[in-house]
Amino acid sequence: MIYNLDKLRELIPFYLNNRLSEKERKEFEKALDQYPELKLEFKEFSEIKEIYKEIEKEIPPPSSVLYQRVLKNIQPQIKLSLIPEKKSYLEQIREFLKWVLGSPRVSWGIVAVQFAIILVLFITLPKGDGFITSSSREPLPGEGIKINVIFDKGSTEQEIRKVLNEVGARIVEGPSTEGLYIIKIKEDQDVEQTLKELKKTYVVQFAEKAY
Amino acid sequence: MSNGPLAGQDLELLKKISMGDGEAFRQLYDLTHRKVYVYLYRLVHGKQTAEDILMETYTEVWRCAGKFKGNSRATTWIMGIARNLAMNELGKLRRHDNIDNFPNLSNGVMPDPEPMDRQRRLNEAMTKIPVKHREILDLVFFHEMTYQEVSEVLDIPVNTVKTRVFYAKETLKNALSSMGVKKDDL
Repeated sequence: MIYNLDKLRELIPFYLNNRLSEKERKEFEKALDQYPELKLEFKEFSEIKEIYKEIEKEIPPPSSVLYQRVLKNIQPQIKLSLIPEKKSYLEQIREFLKWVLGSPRVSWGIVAVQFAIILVLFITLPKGDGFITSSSREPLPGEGIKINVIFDKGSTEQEIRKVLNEVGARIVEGPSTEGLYIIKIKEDQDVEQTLKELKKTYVVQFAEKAY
Repeated sequence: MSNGPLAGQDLELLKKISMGDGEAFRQLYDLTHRKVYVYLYRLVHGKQTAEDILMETYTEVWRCAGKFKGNSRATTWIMGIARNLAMNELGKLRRHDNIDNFPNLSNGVMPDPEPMDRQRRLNEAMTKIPVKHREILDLVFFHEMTYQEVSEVLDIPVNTVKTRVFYAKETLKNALSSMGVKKDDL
C-alpha cells in the first residue's frame, strides 16, 4: 500500500501516545517497515517520548495549601454569589408567619408550651380562694378586725410591742417587702379610736383599716 | 484517532462555576490542577512561580467560566489561560530576552566532561532549547494533546503546530550535538 509520508509523520506522536485506533495502528506499523525515513523519525520521537516518562517524577508536587490560596483569592466573589439577596424585614416577617401558620409542628409546639406554662403556674402559685389588694394581703376572716401598719424604721421591737399592747392588738402577718404589718384587734373594739391612738405614736408611720 | 475526554461534562461543570458554585469549582480544580501545574512548572522552571501563576489561572477560571464554550476540554482551555499568564510573567521577569531565541550553545556551553547517561543528556538538552519548542514537545508528548488542542492552547494554526513539532525535534537534536552528543551515543 502506498502511504502519504507527510501524513504518516504527523501520526507518530499519536502512535506513541496510544491514541490511534487499532486499524490506524496496524497501518502505521506496516508503513514503518516500508519507509526507512519514517522509521528514523519514529526512533527520534520515541527517544523524546522516553524522556517524558521520567520528567514527571522530577517535578516537585504543588503545595498542599495551594487550593486555600486560590480560594482566598476568589473568596469575596464566592461569598457574594452564595449570599442570597437580602430581603426586607416585612418580607422576612411575612415569610416567618407563613411558615409558622403553615406548619402543624409549630401549632402543636405552641399548644405544648401553653400547657407546660399552665402546669407550672398551677404547681408553683400559692393556693387560696381569695385575692390580694394593696391594703389587705389576706382575705378577711369573720373574727377580729385587721389593720395595715407600717412602723418607723428606727423603732425597736420593744417599742412596737408596747404600742400594740396599749391598743390591744397583735401582729398576724408581716413584715412585707414594703415593711407592712397586718395587726388584728377584737371585733368589739373601736377601729377609728385604735387608728387614732396608733397614729399618735412616733412608732407608727402608717395605719389604715385593712379591707 | 480517538478523541479526548468529554467536553460536555466540562461545559456543565464550568456552567455551574459561572453561577457561583464553589463545589463545582473544587471539583474542576481537583481534576485539572496537577496537569496545569506540571505544564507551568516546565514552562517557568520554578515551583513558586508555577504556583503563583496557577493561583492566578484558577482565579481567572472562576471569573471567566461563563466564557467557556465547550468546544475543547476544560484542561485545554485552562492551559491556554495559564500559558498567557505565564508568558506575561516570563516577560516581566525577563528571564528570556526573547523566548523564541535559540541559545547559542556551541559558543558558550562546553560539553560536560563527566559521562552522562542517556536520560540526563536528553533532559539537559531539553532545558537548552527555546521555550516555544520545549513547550510544544511538552504538550504533545507529555500532556498527549492532539494538534487541534495544542493549537488552542498556543493560539496558533494547526498546521503551524504540526510543523513546529518537527522543528522542535530537530532543535533538540541540534542541542544534543552541541553538547557533544551524537545521535548514535544515545
